[in-house]
Amino acid sequence: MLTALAAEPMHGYGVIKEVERLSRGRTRLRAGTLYAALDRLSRESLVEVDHEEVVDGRLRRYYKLTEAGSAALDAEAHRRLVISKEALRRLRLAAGST
Amino acid sequence: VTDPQRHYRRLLSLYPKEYREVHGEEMLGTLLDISSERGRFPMVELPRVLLHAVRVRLRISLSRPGRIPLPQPARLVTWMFAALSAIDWYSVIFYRHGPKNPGPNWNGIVSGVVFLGLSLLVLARRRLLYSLAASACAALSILVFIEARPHLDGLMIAAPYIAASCLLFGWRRRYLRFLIRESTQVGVDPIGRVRTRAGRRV
Repeated sequence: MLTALAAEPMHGYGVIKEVERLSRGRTRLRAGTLYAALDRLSRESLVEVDHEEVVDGRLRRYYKLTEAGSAALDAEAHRRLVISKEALRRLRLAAGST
Repeated sequence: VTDPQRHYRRLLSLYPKEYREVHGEEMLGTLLDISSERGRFPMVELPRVLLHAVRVRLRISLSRPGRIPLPQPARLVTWMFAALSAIDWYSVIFYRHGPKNPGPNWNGIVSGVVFLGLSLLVLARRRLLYSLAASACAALSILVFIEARPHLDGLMIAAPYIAASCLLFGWRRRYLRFLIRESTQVGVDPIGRVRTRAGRRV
């Protein structure tokens, strides 16, 4: 979800679609899960409300990453990058030794 | 208001009022977006929404610091119901499969759920639910008394229900005063942070 919100503010349904797109259809957030996660991220001050608009009579509230949220995402992305690099290095080593 | 909107509003009424006031319209919009895409409301969404509503309710009710404890009679009755429920569940779990009791003990299961439900009704801190618990308790005492033969046994079996009914009805005014006092003391913001009426976060 933090990755989905990294580029621009998004409303709830936008987040659902973006997470689905990022995961190539493997993850489909449910509405209850989405708002549970948004509540938690708001409590931890990782996301905040950016603005609201009404489209076709439906209220859309846009969320964006806070500075703390960006920092958390950055740290997590780097951590995963290090692990991924290490995994690839070991796989290459294993392939080279056979 | 269209039909799906009405259904979703009903679904969202499971959330506490404080949460609904802030997130209700937004969630309604998201649910409508989801159903517009699929042509109908996907039932797979339902359990997650229910679960989230329960979590929000629990978080809001548990995160109230310095919450005024329930009046003594209400606590007493709650514990009594909880104990009766525990006794029933104990018998359901440990005496289900015996030569004299083949199959599940449905009476125990039902009465365990009923007692647990009654204790939750009292704990819910709602005027209507408190009255419902008191009435249910009175109805149970009468039923047990009528069903039992001889009536003296019925009186003994119904004694806890009669006592609970007397307590609940007798202390109803005190419970209502307590509810009024509690409702003016603190508020909880939509994501469960507690605030005083003046708006200061606790």
